[in-house]
Amino acid sequence: MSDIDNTNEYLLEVFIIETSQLLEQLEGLLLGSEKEGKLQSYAIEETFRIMHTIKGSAAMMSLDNISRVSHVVEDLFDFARNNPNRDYSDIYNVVLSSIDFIKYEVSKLENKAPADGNPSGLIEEISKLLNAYTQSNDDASSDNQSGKNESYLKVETTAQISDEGATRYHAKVFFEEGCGMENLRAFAIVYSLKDVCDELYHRPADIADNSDSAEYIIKNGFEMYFRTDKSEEEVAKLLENSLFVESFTLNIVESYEDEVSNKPNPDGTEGKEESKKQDHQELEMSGLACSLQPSYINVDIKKLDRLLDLVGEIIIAESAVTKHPALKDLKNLDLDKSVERLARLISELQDSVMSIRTVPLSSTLSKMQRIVRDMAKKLSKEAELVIQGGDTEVDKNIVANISETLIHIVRNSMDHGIEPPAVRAEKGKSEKGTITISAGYDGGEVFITVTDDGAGLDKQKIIDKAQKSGIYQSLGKSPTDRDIYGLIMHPGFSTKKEISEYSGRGVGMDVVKTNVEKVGGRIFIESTKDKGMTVFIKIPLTLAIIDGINISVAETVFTIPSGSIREFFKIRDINIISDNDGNEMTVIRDKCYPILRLSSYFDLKSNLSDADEQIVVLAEMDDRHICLVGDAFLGEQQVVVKSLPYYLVQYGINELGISGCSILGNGAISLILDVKEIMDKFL
Amino acid sequence: MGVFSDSPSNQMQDSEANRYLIFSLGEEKYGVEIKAVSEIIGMHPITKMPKMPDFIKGIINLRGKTIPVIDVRIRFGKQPKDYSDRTTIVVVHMNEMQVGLIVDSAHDIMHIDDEFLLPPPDFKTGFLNRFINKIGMLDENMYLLIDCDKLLRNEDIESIKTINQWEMS
Repeated sequence: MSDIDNTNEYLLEVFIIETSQLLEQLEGLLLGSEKEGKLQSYAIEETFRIMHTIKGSAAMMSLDNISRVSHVVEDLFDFARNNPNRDYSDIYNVVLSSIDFIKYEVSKLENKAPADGNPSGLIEEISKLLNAYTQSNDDASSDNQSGKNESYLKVETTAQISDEGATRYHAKVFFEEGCGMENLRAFAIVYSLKDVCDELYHRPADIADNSDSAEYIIKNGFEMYFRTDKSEEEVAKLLENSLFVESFTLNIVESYEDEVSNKPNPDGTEGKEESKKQDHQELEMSGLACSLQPSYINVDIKKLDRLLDLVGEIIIAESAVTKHPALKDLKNLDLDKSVERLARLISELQDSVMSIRTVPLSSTLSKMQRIVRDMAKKLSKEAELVIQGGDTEVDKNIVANISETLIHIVRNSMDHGIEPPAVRAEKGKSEKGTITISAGYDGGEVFITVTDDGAGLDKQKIIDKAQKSGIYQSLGKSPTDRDIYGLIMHPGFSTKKEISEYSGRGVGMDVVKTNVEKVGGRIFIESTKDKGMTVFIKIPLTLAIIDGINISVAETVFTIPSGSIREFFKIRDINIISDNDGNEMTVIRDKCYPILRLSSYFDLKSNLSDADEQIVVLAEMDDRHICLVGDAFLGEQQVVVKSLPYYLVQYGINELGISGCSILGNGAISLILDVKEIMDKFL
Repeated sequence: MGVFSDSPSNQMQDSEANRYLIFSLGEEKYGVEIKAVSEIIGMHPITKMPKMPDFIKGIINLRGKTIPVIDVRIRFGKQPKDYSDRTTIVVVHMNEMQVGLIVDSAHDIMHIDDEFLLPPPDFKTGFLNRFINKIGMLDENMYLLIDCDKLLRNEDIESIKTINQWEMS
């Protein structure tokens, strides 16, 4: 009994995963088509296929309402398949709402609730649309092109044959199984026959340019009617000698006019009906193949977390062993080789563990297409969403978090950012607004930026408002632009008076901030009035391994990512100049660089007896430079980046220029410096 | 009226209900709900975190996990005391956060029935009001029972959470 329950549960899980994926794919496809302004035939086929698959599996799970909805949508697209050239601009809304309906039902299932939504209204709507389509089609008189596969094609022949010696034949050829490209093999036969015949018809008709006809040939054979003066044996020989022919039948017939005449009406439609059934069958098969192809196994995410932690531990242990002082002066080739091999295996292990957990952002990002579309319609605005870097892979946990966050930001941009077309035109901007989401890697972090070319933020308004509510004072004496824009993510802050259906009273933005900080990320805003605004999000990768240089400052160890380091100096080798405000700088090879003493920046007491022994790291990032002064150089090492505990994020640890921490070979913890953040603060 | 009867998990985990880990700061005895306690460990080497409030001592490496530790003495406004062999870290978890509490020493686990629980005095300010949500009186001894949720929360951002909850609902 429990076995059956388990199986059912498993099937349901597979159904949920599969259906959600299919729906997501479908949604992207349709939104793309709508944008293009034309329902392409591949989109029609794909929609039909997806709905068919969903219908099948829903029926299997006895999810009646889902299967009914997908059934009518399938019908709708079946019609579209047969009439690809009409205008389908009104099809999107119903299909998207069907997708929503199914999604909602699936989400109910996910939460172990019964899928009990009532689809009648939706089904009625779709049927109405389909009726409208068929009616208008009937009006347009059905001068359908002759069907494809079931009709014969007359081939231009070269031979001149007198009526006396002529014989009419019917031949049916089957090719060897799996020889491939049956349609072209058939074409070769036609080619060799046409020199000896004066009439030649073959079925399927479109063998030359439609590879789908191969399927037909495999199933039904390749049929020809022709008239020639060659004897039966000669023709048989010719067929026999054709490549890949497995078997054939050759009969002499009296006449074939009836067979080859492509009568338009009664037979035609019948044939069509038949082919439709065939298509159905094929689809059924391909649907089946699809669902069988990728084999998934569901694993408790906690087990993966543990695996991930272990890999991190192994890397730490590895460096503890291979960097052990006892090995330092040991010259042993065998040992070196083993160490190298171990390192390679570990890095492979790390890659594969990470790949289990990571997913590309593309599906999350394309969800935003839908939001932009829907909101544009509701708010009568025009907007386009551009996505860059959708192939950026991030941890699955982060994707869930990011998805909600981006929804808030995009809604905010649509609602408050992008202006109505008329206003935009007045401002000299194109009537259609653009929201750009781009993603990518930056050191041990993933960055995501959302840019809109809308109204931007009004700095003065924000300041006024913040002063009134008393939160402005928390910024200190001379807040930067970024500090000020950051205020809109302060709880309860809002410059918008009325509440819209989508984004409320600015409450959304502080949810965004907490969400991002929960996964150890940072967020800030830049904006120019009337030009637009950009939200920057940076999130540490879950198990990022970076090359870093460890330096000590008092008792604290800092890791500086190697990528941002240009040079090292001893402090006694450089000249330090200070200006009136106590800012220090130095000149290295005719260039002046600012100096930042980490001990004073982080309020640490340097306990070095000889200040001349301090080291200077010249760091570089985006063409900016800074000299960081620390106490001692500890060595270079690969470190596993861990995000800072959320508890400390509450106290603003991530705004100090520390992007994460890492455990060193000896069990001590180092703090990873965020050179960019320090530059932003200091320069 | 049970104090924690509003927590639904309480009925299920009856063995954990009304059970407290007792620890001491000087002469005073405190208790934390046992269900918030992950483990009790000895003193670990602490990595200082720069520019944090003084009660946040830094982070420790607990079997590959980095966990922030706070000195409960300083958090409660008491005189700090040098750490010794008896100094203990009580690792608690709350709202998906794990934090180590540095206390003078940890004692046993006690069951305190609802009838022995008193509401804290009605001060408007002070740490009692901020971190203590009940006082247990048992065998002439007084136990100050800590509200972990409040202890681990930065009051400055408390308002955010309230608004979050409001928006979710």
